[in-house]
Amino acid sequence: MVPKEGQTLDSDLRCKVEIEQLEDGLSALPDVPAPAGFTAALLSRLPLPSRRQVRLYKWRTAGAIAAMLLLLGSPLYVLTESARPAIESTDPNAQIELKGSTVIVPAGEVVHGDLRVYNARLRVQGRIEGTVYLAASDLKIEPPGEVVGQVRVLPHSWLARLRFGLVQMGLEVRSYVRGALR
Amino acid sequence: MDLVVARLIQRAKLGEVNAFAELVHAYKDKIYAFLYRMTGDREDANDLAQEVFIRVYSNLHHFDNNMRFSPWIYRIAQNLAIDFLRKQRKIIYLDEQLGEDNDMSWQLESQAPLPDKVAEFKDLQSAIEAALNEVPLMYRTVLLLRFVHDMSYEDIAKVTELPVTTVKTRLHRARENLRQVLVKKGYYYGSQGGTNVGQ
Repeated sequence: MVPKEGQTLDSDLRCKVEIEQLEDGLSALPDVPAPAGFTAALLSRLPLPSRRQVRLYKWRTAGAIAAMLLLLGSPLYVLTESARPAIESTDPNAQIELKGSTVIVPAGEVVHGDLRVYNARLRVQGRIEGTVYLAASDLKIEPPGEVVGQVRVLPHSWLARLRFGLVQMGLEVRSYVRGALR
Repeated sequence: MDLVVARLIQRAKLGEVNAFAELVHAYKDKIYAFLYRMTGDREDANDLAQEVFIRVYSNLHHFDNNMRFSPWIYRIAQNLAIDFLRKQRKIIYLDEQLGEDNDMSWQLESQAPLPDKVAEFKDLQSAIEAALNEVPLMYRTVLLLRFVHDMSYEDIAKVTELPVTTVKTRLHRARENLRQVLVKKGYYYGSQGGTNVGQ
């Protein structure tokens, strides 16, 4: 503000007016655009992200989504899985058949190890040299079949079902992660 | 605006350079203008603005999408400008000497108006542009953010990492300081009341 000659103003009022003028003046300062070619020059200088960084970020995002899905889906999955017929054996070479809800150890087959059966009927026509664990399952030994070992019945409680469901889910996740990493 | 920016950031985080270019396009003029008025030099402002965006790009992975982008990028710009001016020894007043509680002892003494100095300024804007370079940096920052970049007190607090109350106090003093610089330059008359001006 350039005061007119001879004008007398009260100091406080003048300060107030001047400061309001300054605020208006600051708000009305002209735009100062960035120089032409700013973006192009910048992009040419950018340190492009390494593949590792991008991959890590993608994995982090995928991991967060997977964790959410697991949290939301696992109770249902565990309940479904725990009712499914399944077998586990400590003998990796055992030829055991699973037909519907029936598990068959065929004639002439020898299982060298333990056998766990879940939610199924076990028919032994061959030979089992180990302990048989039955969970929500029953056993029928058909001649000339035999079990050289103990037969144990696992408790058919909800806790056992939960444990089995969790084990199954763990196995599924492990195979999925291995597949994704391959 | 915030949603658009958040999506651009998300895409840029996944390595999409085009998304980052859009982000630069949206903010380059504001950041350049801010740095130009902080440093008073176009070339320095250009170099610093480039550096700001490079830092943004390098640190995008640390940016939390729940935060607002604008205060974040202005904070980077402000910090770079302060570092730069300290290194260049272009800071006229050291912030450390200007405690918030002192009794305005930093104020410039009022002077008698000098008509030839008044004539130097074509208008208030050019007078303010010139005066801003003489305002202490901590005041210049808040003046620019508040009045030129139209930021809320809360956003200025985020940029300067100060409490909102301190921002308000600082702004009050900054305006008075700017006025005093203009008084010194002869654009305004001194604050000693009741004088016959223009004589």
